[in-house]
Amino acid sequence: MKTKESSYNYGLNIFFNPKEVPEPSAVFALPEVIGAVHMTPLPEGDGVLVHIPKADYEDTVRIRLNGSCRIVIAVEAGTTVTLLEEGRAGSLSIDLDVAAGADVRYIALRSGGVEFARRRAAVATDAKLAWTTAHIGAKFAYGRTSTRLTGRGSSVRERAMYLGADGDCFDLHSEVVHEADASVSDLLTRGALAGRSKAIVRGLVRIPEGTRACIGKQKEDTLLLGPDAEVDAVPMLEIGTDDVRCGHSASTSQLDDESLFYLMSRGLDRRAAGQAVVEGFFAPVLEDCGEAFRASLGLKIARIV
Amino acid sequence: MTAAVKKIDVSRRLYDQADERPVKYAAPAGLTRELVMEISRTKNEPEWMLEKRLKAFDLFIKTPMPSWGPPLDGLDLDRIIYFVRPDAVESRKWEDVPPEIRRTFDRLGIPEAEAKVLSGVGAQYDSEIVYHNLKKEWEDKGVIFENMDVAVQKYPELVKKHFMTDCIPIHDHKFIMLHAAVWSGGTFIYVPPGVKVGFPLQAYFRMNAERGGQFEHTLIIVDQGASVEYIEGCSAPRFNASALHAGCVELHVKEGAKITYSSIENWSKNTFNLNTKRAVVDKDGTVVWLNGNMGSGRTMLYPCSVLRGAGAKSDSLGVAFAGPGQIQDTGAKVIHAAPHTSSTIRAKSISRGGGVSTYRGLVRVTRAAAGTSSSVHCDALIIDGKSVSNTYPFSRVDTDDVNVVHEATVGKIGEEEIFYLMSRGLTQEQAMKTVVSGFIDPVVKRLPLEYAVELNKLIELEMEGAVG
Repeated sequence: MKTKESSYNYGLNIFFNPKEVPEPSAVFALPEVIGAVHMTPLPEGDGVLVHIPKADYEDTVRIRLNGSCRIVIAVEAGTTVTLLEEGRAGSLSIDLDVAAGADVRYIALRSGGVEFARRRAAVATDAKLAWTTAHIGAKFAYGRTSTRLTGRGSSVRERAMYLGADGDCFDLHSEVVHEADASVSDLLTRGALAGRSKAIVRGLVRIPEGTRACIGKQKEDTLLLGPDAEVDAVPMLEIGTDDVRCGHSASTSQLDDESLFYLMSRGLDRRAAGQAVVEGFFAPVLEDCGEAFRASLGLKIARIV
Repeated sequence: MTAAVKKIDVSRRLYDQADERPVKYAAPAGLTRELVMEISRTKNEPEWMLEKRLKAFDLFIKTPMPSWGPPLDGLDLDRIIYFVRPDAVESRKWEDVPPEIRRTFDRLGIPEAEAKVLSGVGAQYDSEIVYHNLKKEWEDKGVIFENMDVAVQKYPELVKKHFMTDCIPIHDHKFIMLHAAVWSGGTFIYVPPGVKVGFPLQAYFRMNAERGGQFEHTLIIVDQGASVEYIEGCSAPRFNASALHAGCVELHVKEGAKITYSSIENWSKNTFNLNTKRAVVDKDGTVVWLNGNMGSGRTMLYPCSVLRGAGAKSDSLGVAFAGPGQIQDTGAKVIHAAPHTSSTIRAKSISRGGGVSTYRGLVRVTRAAAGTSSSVHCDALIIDGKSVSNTYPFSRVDTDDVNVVHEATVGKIGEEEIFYLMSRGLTQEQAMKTVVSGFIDPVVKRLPLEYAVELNKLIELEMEGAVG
């Protein structure tokens, strides 16, 4: 199936000044991968090929980044595995190949820094992929996650979160192309912005001509915690066939007075009530994030709300 | 199947046929500075209008074509005739209108509308109004309903202050520059403070001369506390060479005033409909947009409301139908620039037979717009496997005291609904038509009766041959 370049055009100028964005770290270094896997350097020498054979993985396979790099990950058919990406890379390229019947969870956790990350996946017949990308603050974070559902009955679930305080800037894309029949996508992005912080959030679900019985769901919610925060939300659909069930939604709002009032009537002070509301807002996108990450998110929320 | 297809052709001819009739003055194809001056001279315009036209022409020459949106190949700007004046003098009595022109209007249903006591009718035939009247009582209250060309002469202060100034400036985009350089005809309405016009004012446009461009300008000013409802419908005959429609609609809604603007556009399938509509709304003012887009090969139309006074409101409803070979790129824009403003956008689209319908919209909440709420809702219906529906809703929010919501769904006609209707004795085609008219009902029922009937008829016409 041919994948055409998307025909959309944003029609808006991107609001940040590229000159203000600091250079990503030029440090180039191979990552460490911890877990029972085979690793071979890529012929170009700029990254690694990680091969995940069929086995029982009780522990999470951890990818610890040490600098800019390219990682190609191949997960064998029928394998169930959780991959956790941590550390820091100035620029990062991930290619994830999910073979038939595999069930992969991929979690990328970040706090602070400047990063350009592109993550791509192809999901084969009856395979499942669950992406989670989470940012606690970022001087500048560009993140693009593209998923091709290439096999019949394949599915992708994506959860993305970002929390921004003064000076933070996010440019986040999620993209799903349904190339095979009966494929399912479910995208949810939740973000909260305080102080002078900005985010562009774009999502695209494309169902090309000729595919049948696909289901696509896409949602982008933003909480603005201060008058200086800014968000551009663009959830997009490109549908070329009638045999679909597809919907998307986006919302931008402030802390909900009613929830605050309710919590305050139970004895919380305004600050604690606000923090509880923000934590609750993020709960649906944090299922796959570990305790440690949740704890540091809690601390950050306590600091900025 | 073949019979059904044939039926479409027969039915569409009603709208797509050109009348043989004399054209008094048709400028040569293509746009030059001399032509712009010639148009202004023919109309005996004041100096400031000529300056405006020439400034716009200079900008137009320098500005590149837009790099986004549907492809505009096939639009040859050098082959368009930019100015046509039909051989008809302005007349107020139906009997005075030349017979060929009357026949065209007959087919479009104008006399019926007239018969139903819809008192004010101004219709543009090619580039000038041929038929125009307004009930005397409203004239006595100071309501002005005039051909735009005449208004330039008769009400120079009002026109100079509002014509392409703070609503749509001449440098807005490429096709507005073109419009400002060669505009001709259109409607001017002024409603004085406190006057509520109790019946809809109507105008009906039709593009007729081959390769005729239509650049009508609509300017509506509703003063403090006044209200008006304005309706226009468009239908153009089909020709081989590509035609261009680049109209401009400016609505000025003053403090506490209200405008309801409805339009049904059914240009022939080879028309490029690149239209610009915008309203500036002052304190506590309301604008309601109702738009139906049926015809045209390519449509780019995004009616915009600039809510610049506190408490201003905007309400947009749109229906777009993309049949074979059509790209309907439509949507709505709202700019919240004052506190406590609110907006709703509701868009419905139907794609059939390989047609592409795109919703492209913008909700912009500026820093000044605390206490704003906005909701956008788009629904798309795809009739067959080769048609396309795209949704590109942009929202940009710069302040925290807001509630902005967007929702969209895309789906096909429910098999269960079709089965249910067919089990009650409807044919498959009838069942599909019923489901489609139910789908667009929320918009249609907001239209005045004659237009609701016409819109339903047009959709039915377009749906013929969809079963197969």
